[in-house]
Amino acid sequence: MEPILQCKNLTKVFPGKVALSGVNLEVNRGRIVGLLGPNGSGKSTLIKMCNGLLTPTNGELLVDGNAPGIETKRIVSYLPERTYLNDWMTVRNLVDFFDDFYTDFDKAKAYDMFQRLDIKSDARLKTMSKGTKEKVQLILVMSRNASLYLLDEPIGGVDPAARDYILNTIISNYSENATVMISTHLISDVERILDDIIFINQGSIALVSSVEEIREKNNKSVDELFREVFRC
Amino acid sequence: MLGRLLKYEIKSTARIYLPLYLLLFLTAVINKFFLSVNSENLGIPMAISMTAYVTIIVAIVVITLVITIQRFYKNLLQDEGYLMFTLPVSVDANILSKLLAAVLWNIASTVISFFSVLVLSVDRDMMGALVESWREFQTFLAAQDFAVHWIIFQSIVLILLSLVAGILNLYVAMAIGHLVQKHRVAASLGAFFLIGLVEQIAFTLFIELAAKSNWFYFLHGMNPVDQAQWLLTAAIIVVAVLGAIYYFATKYILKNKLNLE
Repeated sequence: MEPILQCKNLTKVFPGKVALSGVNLEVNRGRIVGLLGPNGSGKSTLIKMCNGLLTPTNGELLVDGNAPGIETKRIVSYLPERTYLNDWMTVRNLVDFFDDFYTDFDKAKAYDMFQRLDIKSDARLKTMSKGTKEKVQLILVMSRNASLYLLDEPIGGVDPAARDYILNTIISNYSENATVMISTHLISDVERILDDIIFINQGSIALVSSVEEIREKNNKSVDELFREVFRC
Repeated sequence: MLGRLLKYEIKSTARIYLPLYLLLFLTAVINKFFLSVNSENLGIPMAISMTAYVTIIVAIVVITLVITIQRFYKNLLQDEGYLMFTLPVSVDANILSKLLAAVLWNIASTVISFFSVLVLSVDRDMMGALVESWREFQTFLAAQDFAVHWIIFQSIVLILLSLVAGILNLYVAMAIGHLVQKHRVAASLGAFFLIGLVEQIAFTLFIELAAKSNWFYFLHGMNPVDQAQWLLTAAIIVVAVLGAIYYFATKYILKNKLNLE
């Protein structure tokens, strides 16, 4: 089967900075992939390009065989690293919004998760703490039946207990053929759910491997290997 | 999808405009009350309520402009753009939903401000006079031939087109401003003034050239109605072309050069 995500010589240059240089990458279907790298390594740039929020300077990027556009947006569920929702909206407004625009959105699933996290559906985003807002965003994003989930720093702003809940939400909410790509530098937290890892450093891919392989070959955890590869 | 986007666009803006219109209506009514009582004892409250009324009219003008700009900038080019540009909708739909809502609110703000003045100033005599002059206007219109009706129609088209082109001018300036990495607001302002400057220069050059080459000589000796029609048609074409340029430039940038921070 065709990979869900392909990058061919993908390059992004900002004035005075090369964010990604000549990235070649294939991500297969049905995997949970960790996009791991230190701050400023190009993780967010790559994810934003997959969503068409940034345009490549050079090279090509294909999602399900298509360049980012309406077709790919239908099947990609994206969690940005910032709060991007209208803060005057209530949870119910947001659920309706997602339901209106994404045909793969599962309303019942969303309400079920909100209820379990004790988030009231008539609460406005404005009145919520930063951590709660992040949970709301994640629930909305994970309530879609997408082919590719791109989660940019999904656990950065929440406490360890909520981290576990979020990670469990992720693994229990994607179907077999869907791929989840999680960008983070909190490796020990996500390690247990990952199938594959991509190490990215200074805009280049440093290593692509399955977690199993790392454990067998190097006899190390991903976290240990990361600290070794990215030693300062 | 345009319909859905438009629905949300109107929802997000109505919560600002509607209370403002309500406030305007209330102050108009209060002023109306003071004016009809017209007692010397009420001098101070009357002055206050009049000031409030004028302030709100000014506020509506300013806020309408600010929201027209802010909805495009904030909702598409800042954090909220992360949502709007990852929806499975076309760039056209995103721009058009903003544009249509902005046109609607600009018209609403104008009409409602106008009507509030009417509410304030109208008493029984004036009402009669207004109805009378409206009737006279209608009989006047009925007596005119097609050419005059056509001029009125053209004028309305020109006003609406100018509104659309004016809004698109703001959009394209912001789209151009977002192409630079830093100081995007300053760059947008710069783009706006630069576009204005280029248009001014082009227009002045054209007029001078036209005067020298006698391009408009044929207008000479035409009757005034024909002249007006001719000039309105020319103005409509120019505004429509400018509007189209703004629109397609905005679309091109948002589609091919999008670089959200």
